[in-house]
Amino acid sequence: MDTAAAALPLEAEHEALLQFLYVCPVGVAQLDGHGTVDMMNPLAIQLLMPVAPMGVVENLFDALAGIEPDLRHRAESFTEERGAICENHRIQLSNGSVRRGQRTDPLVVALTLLRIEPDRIMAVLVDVSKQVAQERLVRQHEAWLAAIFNGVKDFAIYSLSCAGEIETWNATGERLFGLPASEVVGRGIDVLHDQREPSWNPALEAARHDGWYLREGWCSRGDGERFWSNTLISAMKLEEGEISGFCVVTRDTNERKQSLDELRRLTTTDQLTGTLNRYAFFERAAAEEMRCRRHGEWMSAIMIDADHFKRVNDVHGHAVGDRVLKSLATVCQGELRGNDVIARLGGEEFAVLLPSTDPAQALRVAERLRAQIEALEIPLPGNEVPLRITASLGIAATGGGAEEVRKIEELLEMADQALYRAKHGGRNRVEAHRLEPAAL
Amino acid sequence: MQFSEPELLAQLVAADAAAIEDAAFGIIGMNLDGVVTRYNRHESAISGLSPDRVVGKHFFSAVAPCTNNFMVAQRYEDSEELDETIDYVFTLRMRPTKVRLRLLKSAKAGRQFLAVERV
Repeated sequence: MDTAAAALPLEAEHEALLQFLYVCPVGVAQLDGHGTVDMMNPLAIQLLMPVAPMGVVENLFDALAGIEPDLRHRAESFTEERGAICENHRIQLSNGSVRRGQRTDPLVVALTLLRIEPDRIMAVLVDVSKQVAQERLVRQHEAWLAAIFNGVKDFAIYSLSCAGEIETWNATGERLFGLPASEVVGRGIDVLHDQREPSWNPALEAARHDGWYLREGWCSRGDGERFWSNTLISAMKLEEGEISGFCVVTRDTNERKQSLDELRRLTTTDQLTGTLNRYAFFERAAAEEMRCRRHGEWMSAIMIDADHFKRVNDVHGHAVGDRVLKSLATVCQGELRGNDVIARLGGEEFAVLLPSTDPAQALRVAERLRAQIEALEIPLPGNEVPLRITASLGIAATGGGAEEVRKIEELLEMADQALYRAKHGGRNRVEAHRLEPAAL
Repeated sequence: MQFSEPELLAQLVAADAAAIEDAAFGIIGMNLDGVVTRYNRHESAISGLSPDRVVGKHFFSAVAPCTNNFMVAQRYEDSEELDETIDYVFTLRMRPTKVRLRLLKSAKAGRQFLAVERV
């Protein structure tokens, strides 16, 4: 009969559906509105085994009440006629264990409850244990890295895209540069550095080529303050050798730079007057002498000696003598240009080196210095009338295209001879060395 | 043939097809790889699956994945000779059903069986 013929494929179909549900790798269950299980596939019961000690789950909400007490309430207070009561709600059904030396991850299922009609709920259970374990591992790594990053005080670790734009920025960068991610991500690395610093493009190019590049320079903080830094750029290479970007570590070496600067200052300056000491003066002078030879420029020197200084010391004491020297040095330094060098060579004697300065200019400088020294008023303790001093100055010049450029020692010797004449000529005056009178 | 017969394994190894077919409890016969060779009438009735849908398939992974765990499948893998009875739940026709399982294996005979009795 027709019905019998039709019934057979239907039965077969039913069987196929049954089998489909038996092997379905996702747990599915049909519940009434209060959680009573109507139908459930094998994987669903398999997943719920930890909360079904007798192996049977009659009511899903009851079975999960010990872990998710809120579930029944959520389902029963769900006001929509149909819709998701919860979606991929994670429930940990068992703790991890170690069985026969093999670690088992905690069993975590993602539960979705869908209300189909008022008294019918479909439950879907997916085993997400592996995913959860994986996520935990990732979080652990992140926490581990974060602990390293955040523990670092004077390093910033960040990355640049292939094009040199800042790509990732974390707490280390925020701390070192005082800049939030929103202000730097997507901008070039130059934004972190002092505007007067040269472009970073050649550094990136070098890192691209050699794999890394180390550079020192001034960085600027969000508040405009500068700090001296060391920056290491490493190229991040993909397996094919292509560069995917750069990993950058910037280190604040301000303190080190400051202490080096301080050390340099201590070893190169005269403690009393703050001018260069003899050693540093000759070092600088040697460099200027080389320049002078190479470029045929003029170079001038002035010797300055405070007049009657021995008498100042004798009459007013050494403390006042020291004050005189300090004042004299200060007033001279104020008069000189950035490239000029002044040093205390000994006692009350100072030398000034004037690079790229011809004798006429040197004479004008020396005359200004003489006048400024004469105008000095040095207060004397317990005396209303301040002490006044004068100085004698001798100048000499070399270079200016002449065949023979004098060595710095010779130049100073010449200036000293002129100074001698200034002393003998009545002090408080400037004399030039006679060998170079033409330009005067 | 009785589910709790002490010599059940020996009986099953020796039994002809008809004896297994007519047993009053479910019997799944497998080779040592877990591929189903027999699926008797009783088992077919309680699971709702006819033997030709099951025979030739790997039992633990393609027929009843809910047994592919340390309680059932792992025991077959771990032993050469096996005869253990455990309480279990089968989801038969989408309804959890308490059953007793008797896990039987004789590596020597090249056969293994799963006997299923509804509680």
